[in-house]
Amino acid sequence: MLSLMSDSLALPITQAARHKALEFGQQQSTPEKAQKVYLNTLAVWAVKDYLALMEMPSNLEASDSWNPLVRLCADVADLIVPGIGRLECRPVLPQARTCPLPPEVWSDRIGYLVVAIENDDRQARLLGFTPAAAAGVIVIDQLQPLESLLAYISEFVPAITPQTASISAGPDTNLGLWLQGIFDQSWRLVDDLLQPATPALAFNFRSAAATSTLDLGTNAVQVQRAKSVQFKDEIGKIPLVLIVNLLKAEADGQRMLGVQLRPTGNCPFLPANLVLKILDSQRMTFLEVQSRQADNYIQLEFSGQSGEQFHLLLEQGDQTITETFVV
Amino acid sequence: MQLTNQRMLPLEEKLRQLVLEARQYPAGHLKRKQCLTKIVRLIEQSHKLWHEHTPYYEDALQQTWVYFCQNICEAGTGEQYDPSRSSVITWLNRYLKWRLQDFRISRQKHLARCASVAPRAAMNGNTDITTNLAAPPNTPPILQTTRHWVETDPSGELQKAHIQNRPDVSCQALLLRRLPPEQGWERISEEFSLPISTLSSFYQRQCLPRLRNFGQSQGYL
Repeated sequence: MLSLMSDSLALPITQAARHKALEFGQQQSTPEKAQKVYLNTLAVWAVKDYLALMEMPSNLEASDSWNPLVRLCADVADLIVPGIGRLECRPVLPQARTCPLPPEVWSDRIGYLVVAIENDDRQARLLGFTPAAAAGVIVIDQLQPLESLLAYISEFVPAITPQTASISAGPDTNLGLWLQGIFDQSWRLVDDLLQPATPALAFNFRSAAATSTLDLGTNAVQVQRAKSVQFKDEIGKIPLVLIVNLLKAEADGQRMLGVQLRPTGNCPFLPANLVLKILDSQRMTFLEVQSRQADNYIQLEFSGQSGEQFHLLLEQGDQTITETFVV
Repeated sequence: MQLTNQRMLPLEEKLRQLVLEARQYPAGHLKRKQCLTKIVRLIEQSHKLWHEHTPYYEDALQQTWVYFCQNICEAGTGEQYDPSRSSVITWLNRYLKWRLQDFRISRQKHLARCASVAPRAAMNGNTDITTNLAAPPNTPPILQTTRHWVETDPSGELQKAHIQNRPDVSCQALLLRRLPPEQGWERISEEFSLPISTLSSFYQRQCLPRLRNFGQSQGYL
C-alpha cells in the first residue's frame, strides 16, 4: 500500500466539478443512487483534468457518464478518449483496498482508473490504472501507475494515412467505435445534414446477404452517420453529403456497409461524372460507381470484417477526396 | 540570484533533473508527459505548495497546474520557467498566490455587491448530498419519459432485440429492470438463469445503444 500511495497523483477538485456532480446527483430518485452518480462524476472529471494537463484529448459531453438517460439506467463513469474508446474512472473512498466494477462496465472499455475522493471532496487521488479487470473487481495495490496509462493510450493512436495528391480527411475513422456510440464530431446524424423531405435512405442489404451466410437476426445493430464533403468547381463549391451505414448482425466480426453520396443545397441531382470508389487496404479498387446526368444519389454496398481497413474515394475531374475507415 | 548545488535540497535537485529531462523531448512526446506526471506527483507529495482553506483554493491550484504544464518546458501562456531565477516550487507558489489573490478580490467585490448574503453551507461530503437531495417532489420527467418509451416500445425494437434463443430476455425486459428502482444484477441473473456477464454484455451492446438513440431523438443531448 505504501508504494502505491507514492505512485498516486492527487489533483484538486474544483467548485465547478462539485456543482456539476451535485446537479447530476439530484436527478436521481434515491439517495444511494445520487451518491453514486455524484462520486462517479467527480472521478470522471478528475481524469479529464489529468488528461488535459497531459494535452490528451477527451470528450466528456459524448460520454455515457454525461448522458442523463444512461446515468439513469447504468452505473457508469466513462470518459471517451476520441478515436480510441472509453476509459472507466471509478471512485473509491480513501481507505479502499478493492474497487468493485458494476457489470454494465465490464465490456467496451479500453481500461480502468481508480480515483479516491478525499479531503471533503476537494481532492481526487488518481490511484492508478489497469487495462483489464478480472472477475469484475480491481485490486488497488495491483494497479499500474499513471505513466503506464499514458504509454497504453499512445499505443492506440492510429497511424495517419499517407497524404497523396488528394484531400485526405486525416486519421482513419474507426467504425467499431460507432457500434459503441462513439462518433467523431465530423460525423453527424443524417437528419442534421439533409432536408427531411429527402426520400428515405433504404440500404437494401438483402442482395449482399444472399451471397453470404450472414444471419440478419433480430439483434442486428445498425448505425448511420453523415458527413459534409465539398469539391471545388469552376462555378463554386458543390456541397455533398456522404452517408455511411453500418450494420452488425449477430455473427461476430462480419459487418455490412453501405455508402451513399447525395447532393445537399438547392439542387436535387448530383453533378454528373462523380465517381465513388471503394479500395481495399492495398488500395486496389474493388467497387466503383459513377453518377450520370440526373441521379439523386449513388451508392455502394459491401461487407467487411471487423478490423479491416478500406478507403473510400470520391473523384470529380482531377480532384479526389479520400476517407479511410477501419471496420 | 545564483543557487549553488550544495545548498539545494534533494527535492529541488530531483525536480530540476526531471525538468531538464522533460525538455529533451518534443511537445506531445510520451516521455515528456511521463516526466511531467512525475514532477507534479513529487511536488504535490512534498506538501511544499502553499495551502489555505478557502472555497476557491482548489480552483486556483488547478489553474496553477495548467500553467505549470504549459510553461515548464517552453513558453506557453506565460514565460518559460527559468531555473536560474528560482526553484520550481517557488515559481509555482508565486503563481498560485497571484491566482488566489484574484479569487479573493473577485469574491470581495461580489460580497460587497450583494445586499445581504445568506451563508452557504460548506460542502463537506456525504451527508450534504442526502440533505441537499430532499425527497424529490416528483419522479424526474426524464425517468417518466424513458419508462414510458420502454413500456410502450413504439417501434417494437426493444422486444425484438433479445439474447439468442431467449425472447424473454429482451432489451425491453432488461431496461425495465434496470430503470429505477433498479433490480440488482444478481437478482436478474437468478430470474433468467443466465450468467451476469452474458446479461451485462448484452445490456451494453444492445440496450445502451438503443437508449442513446432514444435520448438523441428526444433532444437530451
